[in-house]
Amino acid sequence: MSYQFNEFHWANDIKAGQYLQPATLAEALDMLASFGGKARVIAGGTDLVPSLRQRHLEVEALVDVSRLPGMDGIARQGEVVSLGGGVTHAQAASSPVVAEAAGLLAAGAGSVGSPQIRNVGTLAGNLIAGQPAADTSLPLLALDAWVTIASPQGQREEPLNGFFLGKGRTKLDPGREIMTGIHFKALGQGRGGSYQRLAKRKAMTLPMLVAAVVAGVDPGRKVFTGAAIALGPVAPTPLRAAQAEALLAGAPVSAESVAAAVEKASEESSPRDSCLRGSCDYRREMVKVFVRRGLADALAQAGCPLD
Amino acid sequence: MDKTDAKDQVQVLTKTKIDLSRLACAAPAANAVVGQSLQRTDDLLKVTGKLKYQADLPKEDCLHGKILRSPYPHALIKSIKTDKAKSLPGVAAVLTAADVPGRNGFGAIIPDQPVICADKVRFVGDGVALVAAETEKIALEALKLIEVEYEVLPAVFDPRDSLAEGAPKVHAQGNLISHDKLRKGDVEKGFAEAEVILERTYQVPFLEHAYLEPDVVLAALQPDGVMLVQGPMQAPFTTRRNVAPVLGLPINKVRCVQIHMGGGFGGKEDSPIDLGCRAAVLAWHTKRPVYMSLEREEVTLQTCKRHPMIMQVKIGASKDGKLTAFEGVIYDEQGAYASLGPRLPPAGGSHVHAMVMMAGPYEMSHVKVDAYLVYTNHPYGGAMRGFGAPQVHIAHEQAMDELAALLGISPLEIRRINAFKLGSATATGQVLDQSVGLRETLEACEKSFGFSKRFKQAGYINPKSSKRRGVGVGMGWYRTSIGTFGDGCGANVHVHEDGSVLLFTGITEMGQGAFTVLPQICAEELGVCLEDVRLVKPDTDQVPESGPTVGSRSTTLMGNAIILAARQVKESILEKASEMLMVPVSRLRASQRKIFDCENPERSLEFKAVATACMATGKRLIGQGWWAPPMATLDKETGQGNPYHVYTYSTHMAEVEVDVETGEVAVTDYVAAFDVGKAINPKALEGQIEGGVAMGLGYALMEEVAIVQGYTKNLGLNNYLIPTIMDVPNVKSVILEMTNNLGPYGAKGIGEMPNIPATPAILNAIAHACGGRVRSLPADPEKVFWAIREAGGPPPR
Repeated sequence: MSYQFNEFHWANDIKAGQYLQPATLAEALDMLASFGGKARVIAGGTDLVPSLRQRHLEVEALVDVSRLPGMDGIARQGEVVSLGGGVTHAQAASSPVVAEAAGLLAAGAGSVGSPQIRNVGTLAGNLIAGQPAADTSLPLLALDAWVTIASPQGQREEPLNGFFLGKGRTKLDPGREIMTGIHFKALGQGRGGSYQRLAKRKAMTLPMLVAAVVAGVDPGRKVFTGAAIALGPVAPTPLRAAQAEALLAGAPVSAESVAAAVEKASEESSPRDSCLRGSCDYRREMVKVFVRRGLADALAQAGCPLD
Repeated sequence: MDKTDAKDQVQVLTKTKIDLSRLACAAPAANAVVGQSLQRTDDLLKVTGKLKYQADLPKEDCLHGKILRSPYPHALIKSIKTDKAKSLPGVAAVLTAADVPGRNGFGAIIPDQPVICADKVRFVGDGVALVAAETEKIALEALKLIEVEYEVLPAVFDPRDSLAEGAPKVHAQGNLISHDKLRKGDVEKGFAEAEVILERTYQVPFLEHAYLEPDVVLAALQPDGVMLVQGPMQAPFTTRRNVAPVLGLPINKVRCVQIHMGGGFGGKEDSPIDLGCRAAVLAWHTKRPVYMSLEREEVTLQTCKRHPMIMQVKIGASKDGKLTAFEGVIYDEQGAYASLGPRLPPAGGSHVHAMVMMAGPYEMSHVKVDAYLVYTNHPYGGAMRGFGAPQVHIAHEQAMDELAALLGISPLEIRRINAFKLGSATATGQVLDQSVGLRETLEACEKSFGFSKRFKQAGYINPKSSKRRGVGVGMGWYRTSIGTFGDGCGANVHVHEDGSVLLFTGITEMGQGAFTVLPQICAEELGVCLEDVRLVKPDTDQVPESGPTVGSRSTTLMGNAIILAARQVKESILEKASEMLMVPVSRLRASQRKIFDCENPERSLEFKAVATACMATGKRLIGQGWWAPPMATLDKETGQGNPYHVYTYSTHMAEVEVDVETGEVAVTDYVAAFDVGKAINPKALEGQIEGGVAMGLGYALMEEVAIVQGYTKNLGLNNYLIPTIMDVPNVKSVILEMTNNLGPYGAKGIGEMPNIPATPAILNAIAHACGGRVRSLPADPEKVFWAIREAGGPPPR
């Protein structure tokens, strides 16, 4: 084992060739295309710039999408809430629309870094960075969100479930495509959500564990109509605890159902032993605590609290 | 901020006046400057961004210096090839060990650290070659072109392993730097008298100071052959003392200029020696000014840390809670180089400080402590806000609570029974004959916090919550001064004919307020206002030797030197005023720019007019003061003696909420009481207290340099966590003033004390809240979680 001292950020300037500021989405896509995959989109830059300095990434150009028109809106049409690709964590955390439709997302966005980072960092960037415990990826994953991606071939939509391919890799080609929108259904009647975060201090730090939970219930019959449990970092990508979710679908709303799901979610999790963020054993225990709390919280919000 | 505004936060509760000596002012009540919460002299510059730190100063014409570092914790250097690096355009010098002009070694106490390693590296980050180039980038490129061939050696990372037979030798003379002993009474007898005996081991990790300003230095050879070394430094005289022999120069041909520091906390006592020597060697070879700055990761790699310690405690008490004996063993890990660790006679050195204080501020007849200071292949230990004391407080304060629990008495009770009072003898046999306010701080804290009541109320915060509330107490004591033979302080005071004053001291400003408190003392003594005194920034060419700005010594030792210097001038002023007013000197007082007749205050003169008259008639307006504390003593074999001349005392009380399902801890309420002798500037003192508590909280809950096989895993502040404002509770300060006969206006040191009892107070509160006790720091959520498991799970509802 030895250090590669030249990997420290200070050893390197950012090698970005050109810094481009397109006026329209079409121009941005053309710019990206002209570099044949060797350019990168930049918005807040809070993930990208450290990667560039550490030379984890080398690019020929940066295409700044932060001033593209129509990228910073938050709107609700019927059941669907849409966030533009340029929406910052600060915007999401303070938006009344988001707070009403999905409090767990507002809480996640409000937990990112510091006020300065939240003011520039974007939700789209958080998704594209593809980190396993991103504070907004997990609530969006639990909300069954889908994203709009603009590419030279046109627009397409991708569900977030299945979007994350590996650590730092997603279904979006970051050298050719731009995320223009993020959409999810408002929780509304009979559904509730919760965001649970564990960290060594109360701000400015990556989480040891995040659990984002959405529960749907039929309050009359007191059964789960569905549940979504998103966890990180317990796997190389943000994880949906599918087996635990399957146990809950159609199950009665009871402490027993929750307990079974909690155990299953813990089994599905495989966090690494980390000298900075906790052992595997501990974090598996915490998955149990947080899934239980998340479900209880979500059920209460859905109008069908556990006894 | 005036005193009334401060009242809800700062209370002055007690004033005990013991026989006022020459140094304690005759009429404290009349002080116009001392004791006032005057605005700090650098506040405005700092908050408006106008204050220049070294990195803000121009760097034109400077070469940039960089260090090639060892990638191995322990290895032999077989060969170094520098040709390629030297031929890179823009490179001015590539230096190896043979290029050091004088002694190839530096160190605050023992020069065991090579300026450039010759044959061997001892920790990851050790300096193997130095480069100076026209730009920082070229210097970094040049580093990559230096070819070093290493032979990796087995390394040692635990002080106990390091002492084992056959362990890899970090230095040729062996790994044990020092074994010091304290022997008081007969511990066997003491334990035989005990009805309850507790044995525990407590462990603390390396800590990084995390000062805001990374280290930076400028070295420039002057036309007259003098080497100028400039930058943030807590100990310009120690830096000078090292740079001179490294260059082969006499001390008077090195000039160290201290620039305002962005935090030091003890770390910038020796990091400027390291950086200063290296920059000076580059400047010597290139004949150009050399600028060196460290990035944050380099600060963590290269500079000293708070010493990790493994502390074994055995403590005995009778059934009624009276302590009968204490036995301790300290494995103090020094790391790769001696830095400030070793014993500096009679009572200097981290393990000696730790040894002397290990039994805590409690009366006991029988004490035995063995302290081992040991080399390993880790980064090296140095001073950090309390130098040996925070570590042992974590041991004795937790042991006191664990013992109290065994005895079935409260944490306050066991401390009330055993705490030092006037006349107590310490573990070194020192009789505390003045200014002992420890018990008073406990009672003041209790009055404000209501510990006894809250101790009984602990439990789940509501029937549905997983959070339990608990309270903890931490008591502490800390020396003023450093316990070495050479602990003197010099000051010069110059009064000018218009009544304005220049004050020359070598005490440095790092945010602690010295540049406000020292002029306050000078102004008070002369009878002028704070704004009349301009402090000359530390510059070894201009100010008298003052020793380092460490050991909570500045206000007290330098304050005394300033008083003595000011009095020499005041003598002239009063004599002249006596002539002018036709009033005997004994009836004259000086205050707020006036000299007046005590018996007829209407008869007065402007200070300025008297100064003008002195100048016109050739009367001396220059004073020089020198003060050293009473000679420290500590027997080498028994550890008995008077190591430090006076102590500050403190009690802290904390309330925490522990989530028993996750191990998360929140500190929710805090009161800290101090016997400081005299608060020279109460508001500035309060700032020291709040910052200190935050630092102690970090030690308790999150701070740790995580080193795996010699490699630090958290070099940046994204992973080395210190508390944010969200983590720190409102801190209520209570200030008591038990006059110190040997202090300026009765003052004692306060710089380090506030962080010391904070850590164990919080740890004790955690144990009280959840039943689990973390004995190996930090008490992060995972460790608290497993401690609760070990204690049998969350307490029943």
